[in-house]
Amino acid sequence: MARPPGSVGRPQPGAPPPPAEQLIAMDHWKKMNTKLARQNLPEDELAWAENVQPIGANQWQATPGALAALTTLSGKTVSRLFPANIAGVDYIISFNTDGSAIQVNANTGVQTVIAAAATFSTAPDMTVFTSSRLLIADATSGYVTWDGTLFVKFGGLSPNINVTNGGSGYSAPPTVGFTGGSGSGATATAVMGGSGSAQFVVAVTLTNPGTGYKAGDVITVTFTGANTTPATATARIWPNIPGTTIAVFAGRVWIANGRVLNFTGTAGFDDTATANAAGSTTIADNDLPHQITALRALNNYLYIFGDQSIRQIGSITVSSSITQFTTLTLASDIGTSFMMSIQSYNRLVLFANKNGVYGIFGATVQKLSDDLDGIFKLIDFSLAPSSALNDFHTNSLLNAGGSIHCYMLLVKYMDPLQGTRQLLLCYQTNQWFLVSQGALIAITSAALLSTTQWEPFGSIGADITNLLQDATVAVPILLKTALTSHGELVRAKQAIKAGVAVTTDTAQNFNMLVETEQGRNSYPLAASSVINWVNNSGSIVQFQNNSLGNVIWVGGGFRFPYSSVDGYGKVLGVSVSGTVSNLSVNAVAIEYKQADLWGRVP
Amino acid sequence: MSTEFGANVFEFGDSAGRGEWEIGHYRQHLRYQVVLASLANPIVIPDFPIMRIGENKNEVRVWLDTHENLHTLLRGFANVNGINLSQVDLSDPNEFYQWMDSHNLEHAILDAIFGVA
Repeated sequence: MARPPGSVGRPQPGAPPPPAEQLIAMDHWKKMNTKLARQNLPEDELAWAENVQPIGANQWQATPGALAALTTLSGKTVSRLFPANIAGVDYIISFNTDGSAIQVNANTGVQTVIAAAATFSTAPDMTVFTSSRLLIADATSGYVTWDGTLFVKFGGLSPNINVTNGGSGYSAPPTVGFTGGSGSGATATAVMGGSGSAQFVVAVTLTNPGTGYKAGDVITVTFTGANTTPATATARIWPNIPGTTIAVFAGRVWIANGRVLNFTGTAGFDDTATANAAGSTTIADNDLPHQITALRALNNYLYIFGDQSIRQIGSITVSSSITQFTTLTLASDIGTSFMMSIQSYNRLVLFANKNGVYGIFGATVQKLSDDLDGIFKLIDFSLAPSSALNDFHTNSLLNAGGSIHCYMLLVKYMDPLQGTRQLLLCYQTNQWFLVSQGALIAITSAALLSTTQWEPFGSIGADITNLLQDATVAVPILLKTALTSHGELVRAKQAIKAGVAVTTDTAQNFNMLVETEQGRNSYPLAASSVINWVNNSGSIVQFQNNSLGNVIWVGGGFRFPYSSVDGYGKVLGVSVSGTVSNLSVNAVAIEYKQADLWGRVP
Repeated sequence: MSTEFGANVFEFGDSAGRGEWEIGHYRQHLRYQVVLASLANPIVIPDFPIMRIGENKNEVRVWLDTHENLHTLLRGFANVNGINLSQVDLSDPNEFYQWMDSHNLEHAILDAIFGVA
């Protein structure tokens, strides 16, 4: 175990001289901490942990790699991604910089165009209603919907057609027509029940919403076809609700536009009738200085985010056709303008702003990312952070159990060493670690039916790619320990040997960098051992290949490769790097010789 | 009317559960106040600051006393008796769980009387 770092070391009068060789063993790292300078970290904290995830005591496991791209959206650049489940099929919905939107089957990659270019802004919001349709709020398109095949916006009829009497005596589906109003072109088909000449209408499916309809138009639905009793139905115009963010909560659709919060009535996602308790409220409070930036229905509440405040609505009631609810202010000085950073995670609501990642613990908003302060001060927020959930597979077998549920935030990090690049800041049970998986510009996650787990998807431009799913893909890891004085800051130390304990499925090579405040030296290490085959007589069996060359068998397991090293300074540390898979870093050890007090160089 | 105090107990030391409890509990008290204010002879109770228990001992003590004062008022309007809910050390697991049970029982009675459960 690491010797507890204490005060600046100073030989005590009368104390025996320290042994010539000392050992620093750094293991059982509690967390990664970028808030403190590396030389100020305790030995049981890491300065950097990239593409290594803490999965247990002494186990920082290489993260899985990305799968091959699920699909490529030709000629498009993704701006935002959302998950959706429509009629039992999982999709990733891509809103693109040209204002188009495309539905991508999350399992097959099959694309379906939802809307052409110039339909949406680059910052739409989306939710799903009863796993049957997308509801989208956007500054350009307004409130629109998509059910997997039909796109409806203001000017068209609503797909929510209510059959008030199914009629009787139909022997074939009647022709459905629409009369009245200012628009035209709407078409629909009748869905029939019964059989033979005793059929009746059970539903009407809108096949074309038409155009040119206006608010207040009265539409009559006609059924043309022989019958005993004619069917009747009502239709209405798709509502015109301006907004930039949307949520479904308590069966209603909530859409915010500026300070105004609109909500639909009891008769569905298109019901704006005040008689059905639809309505709106304006947040006039001073602690909403600009506008509502996000609505999210999470953990039994509707959260109303402003850029500097957070409100919450609980259960709603209806009295005399008026929807009643209580709005509580959870924070008047903390909020977010990064809508895509908001997620429910382990009963908390997590979100990010320019100061860090916060968690809403019921009534209390707390910062969770103090350990990332060293990273947050170098984030380029020209890429608005987006977030995802992931159930990390800790086993190389895909779909194996034992996964760890994580929140991930995609940020653009101005790395002082490697240049600006994208990082995923990953959070699990009070610990952070980092993942790099390419120059991602947007991420999202879906709870897939096929795996019943949260899986992240991302894009570096035109692709939709399933991230962090293949543990056999080698990823570039970087683990940096503290630069430790080992309790004796004044005394210089001469590094003699250093090693890295790892556990690996296969023989793998990696690099060890021994560092001091004076410089660094690199050493290649191999986590492998020669496997000897022994026959019944106890003799080693030598295998040979077709060229009669000797075949050497190597394997993995727990290995502690080390090397003679060189390094001189008052603080010592190690960086472990390499492109590896299924390898966990367990510990780092440095043997050093006590050198002169104060050192040869300041 | 459904209750907003769904998570009416939580495990000792469970910060996420405690947050859920705090907000649900506060909302339930607000609903009692709505019921009392809507009576033929309205009873208007001011808003007691009991949304967050707080972290340090002083904050917890203030919360317990304020909360007990509110319960004392409510007991009078509901015509029920109850134990003094401020006499507890919530940092002691045994006392914490006993208090949770007692408090939960009193809320169940108040829910029934005020018709919010």
